[in-house]
Amino acid sequence: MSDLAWFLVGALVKSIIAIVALLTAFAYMTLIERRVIARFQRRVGPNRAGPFGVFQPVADALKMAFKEEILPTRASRLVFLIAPAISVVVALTAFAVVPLGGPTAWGNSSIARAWAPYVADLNVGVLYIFAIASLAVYGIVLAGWSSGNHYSLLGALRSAAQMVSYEVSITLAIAGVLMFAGTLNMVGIVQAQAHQGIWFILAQPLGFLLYGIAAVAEVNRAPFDLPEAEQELVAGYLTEFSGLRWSLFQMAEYINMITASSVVVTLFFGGWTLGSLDGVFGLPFIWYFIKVAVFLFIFIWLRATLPRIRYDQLMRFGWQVLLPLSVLNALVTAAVVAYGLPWWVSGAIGLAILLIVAGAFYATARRSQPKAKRGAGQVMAAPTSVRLVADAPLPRSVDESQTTSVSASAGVK
Amino acid sequence: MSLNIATVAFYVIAIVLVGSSLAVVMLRNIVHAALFLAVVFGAAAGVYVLLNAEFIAIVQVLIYAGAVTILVLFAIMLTQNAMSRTSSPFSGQAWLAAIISVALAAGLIFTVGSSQMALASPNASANLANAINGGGTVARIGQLLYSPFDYSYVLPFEIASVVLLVAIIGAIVIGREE
Amino acid sequence: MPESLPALILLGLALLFGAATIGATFVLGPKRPTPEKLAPYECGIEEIEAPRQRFPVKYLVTGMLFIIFDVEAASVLPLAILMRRLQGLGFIELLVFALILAVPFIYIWRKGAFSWE
Repeated sequence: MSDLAWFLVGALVKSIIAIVALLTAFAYMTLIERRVIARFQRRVGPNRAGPFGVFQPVADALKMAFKEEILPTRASRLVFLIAPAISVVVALTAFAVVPLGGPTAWGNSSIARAWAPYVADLNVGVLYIFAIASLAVYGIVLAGWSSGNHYSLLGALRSAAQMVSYEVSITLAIAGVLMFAGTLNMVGIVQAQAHQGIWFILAQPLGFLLYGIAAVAEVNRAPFDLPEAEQELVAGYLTEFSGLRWSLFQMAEYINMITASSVVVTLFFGGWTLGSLDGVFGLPFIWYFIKVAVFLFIFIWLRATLPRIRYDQLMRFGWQVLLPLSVLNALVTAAVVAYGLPWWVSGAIGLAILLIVAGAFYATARRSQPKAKRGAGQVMAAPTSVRLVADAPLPRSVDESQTTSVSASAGVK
Repeated sequence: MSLNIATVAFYVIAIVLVGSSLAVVMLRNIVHAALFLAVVFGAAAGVYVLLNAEFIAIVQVLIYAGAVTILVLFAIMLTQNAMSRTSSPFSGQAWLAAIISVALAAGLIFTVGSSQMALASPNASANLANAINGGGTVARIGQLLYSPFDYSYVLPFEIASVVLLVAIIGAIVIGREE
Repeated sequence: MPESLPALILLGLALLFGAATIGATFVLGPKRPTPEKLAPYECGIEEIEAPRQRFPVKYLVTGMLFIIFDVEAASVLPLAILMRRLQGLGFIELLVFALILAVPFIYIWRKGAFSWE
């Protein structure tokens, strides 16, 4: 067979492997997420289906497949059906350029190169992921519109506005990495890190944080999961969906999480490279998967820890904080790269900006919090996050009983 | 082999492009029409890929399919009664539109057919693009745009930011809430 | 062209998967529709026919601003990857571009484009 034919066969098989692997990863991410969140909340989590609950995803999938699929009378049928498909197709397609290993991971012959561990090696690399991911808004907007339900429509508009607001910052936040790498190609960016002997996180701490925050918002995960703000909007654009159609949206969310984590590892954490251990069979893959898993864990950690932020705060944060900081980061990095300064200069300036911004946030947060009365030696009856009316004294008797009960329970612990 | 793939791909994309363009102007449901507009932009990106202009293709998807059409959808949902769906695309001026379209198409076909730049096949044009670009299109476009050592468009690039400035202020003025 | 074919293959397979799953939703699962079940979800109460829906124009403004800044980002990226080669000139180009855009950004900030009450 000719090289081109091998190339196409390789692409076909690798595409199938990628889809199957992503779907499996999605299934087990749901299990891991439920188990980990349960640990955070001092519960056990699903552990009945098989050892450690490993068959739970199978049970969930079967249950979902045999649920009744509701097609509301008010729905616009065709669009209602294709909206979940759009979401999942976009999520799967975006993964094409993520490299799990180098072009010579299996050897240097042309056949080995056709089986290199990524589906496509595009010149436009990162930009391809962002372009495809920008289409994810369609799935949400169309789902909301076609449901014929006001909650759905409002939820869809909200999350669409959220996603587009953070998309700009995402693109600008990685400009710094691109300046250091000098290429958009994903494999090229990893090789640039190996060549320069650093992970770009060291030169781009600010860029990493900006990208990370924007990526969490972009995949609609906590604390930016406004479309699912159930006390306001039922389940947002998901309200009218059930069964497999609903699980397609979940699938898209988790696959997007995996892609976002892979992009972080590729751009900021050196991808698969291990230095002198690169040649050891299989080791670069394991190293890569460990790094991706860490970021997936952070996604879960954020969900377990942070409360959802308000919509107006979300929009203001995206436009007034993330966007200007991304431009600032790009300018600082441009100066460092253009004038040939060493990488740690941009790293240090990035950290300094980060500290200043964090300090400003802390100061405003303290100022906006009314001071509670704090007597000498008195135990606080309420946690500090509860806002007290500044000067209204609590009724004496209530104050005492609460104080004693709190200190009593604290003593038990 | 490569020639066949490119030619077949071109005709597939062309059929999708023309078909969904027709759908955009003919469909009664305005949201369906907007969806097909996104397909049109995607297919146009496919044509750019065939011409080895990957960067232009990606920007086409990013800006047109991913942003402009989304804005169109927003506008539909905000201005219309969002729950009512159909509208009639055929007003009394359909015949006028048909005449103008035919005239425009004839003009374009004549221009392309008689142009010095016309090429026999998409493959030949891809080769030409390759010869000009020398592979890495993004870097090459960047050089053309920003580097004074090659042919430079530095000034137009800076002026583009002034255009964006006007657009931002325009957006705010349009969206002013009384 | 050939190097972008694999991405198209993945797209095609993903489309197949999406279509197959949506198709499966018609085959699998019970179908016992009732008028109440198919009515729009309204927390169990009768739906009150909503008046003509009007959404805040803010959404549209956000969409327009997004396009503009997206164009900005897309035009900065080719400059970014050439930064090392262009040296000081590239930095000045980026600086001028950013400064020109900072003016309307501050203006719309002042106009309250980013405040959602």
